[in-house]
Amino acid sequence: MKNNDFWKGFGIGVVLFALFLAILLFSGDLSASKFIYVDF
Amino acid sequence: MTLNKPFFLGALTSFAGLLILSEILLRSTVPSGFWYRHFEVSGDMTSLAELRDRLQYAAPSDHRVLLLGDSVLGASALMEHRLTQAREKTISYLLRKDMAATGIHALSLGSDGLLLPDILGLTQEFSTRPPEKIILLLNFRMFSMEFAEGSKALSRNFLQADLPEDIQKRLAPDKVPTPETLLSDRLYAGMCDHWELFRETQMLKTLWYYPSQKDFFQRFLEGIVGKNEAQSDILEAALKQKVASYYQPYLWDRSALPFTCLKEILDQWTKKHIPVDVVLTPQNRKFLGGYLDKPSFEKNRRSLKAFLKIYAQRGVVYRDWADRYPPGMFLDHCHLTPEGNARYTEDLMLSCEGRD
Repeated sequence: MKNNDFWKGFGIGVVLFALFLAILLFSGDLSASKFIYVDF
Repeated sequence: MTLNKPFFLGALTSFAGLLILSEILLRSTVPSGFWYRHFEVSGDMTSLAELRDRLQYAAPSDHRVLLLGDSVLGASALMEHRLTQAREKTISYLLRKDMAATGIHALSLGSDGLLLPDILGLTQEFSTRPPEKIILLLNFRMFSMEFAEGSKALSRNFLQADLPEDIQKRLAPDKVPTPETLLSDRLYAGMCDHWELFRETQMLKTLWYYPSQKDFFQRFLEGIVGKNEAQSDILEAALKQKVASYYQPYLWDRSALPFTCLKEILDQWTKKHIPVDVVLTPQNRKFLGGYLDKPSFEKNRRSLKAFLKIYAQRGVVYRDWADRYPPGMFLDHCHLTPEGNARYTEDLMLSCEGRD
């Protein structure tokens, strides 16, 4: 039973990592430039 | 689901394991140049750490040619005009491809909004591994009054530390940044420096949030509801308003930051005996219409030519191509159509080979 809970937690950890990666890839703009979209 | 100790242990194990695994994977693939070979990320710079990676790993250091310039080199205008496969129609991409055929490795550091103080900062970054040749594309906006002095004269804050102290003083903002801004900047830079996953995800973000996050969502919406054709006139008018200041009656000041930095840049490059091709990038007079002050336009061109004359004997070749292409080859005031970019690339190749 305890072993089963560990693997359920393991799966949740994978999902959480995927969400975390999505946040890194899609949150915020291109923050390094002071002038995002300078010419337009 | 029971939220007990084994459950949390399992979650922590997989999350931490994947975090460590991704770090190992990136730390081994970035130095091999994998990401730069498979993804066209030129056109923006997201951090100093990523820029250093790019200089070190994006192209072999032998027979290296550096391309420096602003959005003219990149895909932003092509994407704004909704051209497909825009990243493969840029000057950076075409030049890299054409030069590769002759055994030369072109590396573009051209980025949207780049200004001359930024290029001076970049010069410090590649000073330890100087290229075989440099192609510098100068644009009118780089010398405009708007970017002549103060904090707006530098587009990437992370390059400030690379600049001489006197120039840093001239770039000081009117208002002291708030502690929150300083902390946020330091946190971002720190994470990019020490955390490879964060650094690379910020770099990869430029593949979709380009030229901006707003444009990404606009493209997404257009895919669903279609393009608003009536908007293109408004966008063109807004662009004219925005760029009008670059072409207003204003004579470029030799003591202003752009010329100070240009002098410093060329002095440093020529001291290292690096051959340099400087090009005043083509302009579309027709697009600008009444916004263009013709007398200033001509005087400024002459002034730049005179300024660069002294460098001719030191390996700097200057070409004023402001009038080189017809209006039909432009998308706007200075960005060219895919055909225009192909022609510009061809001309740059010939110029590099001294056959123009």
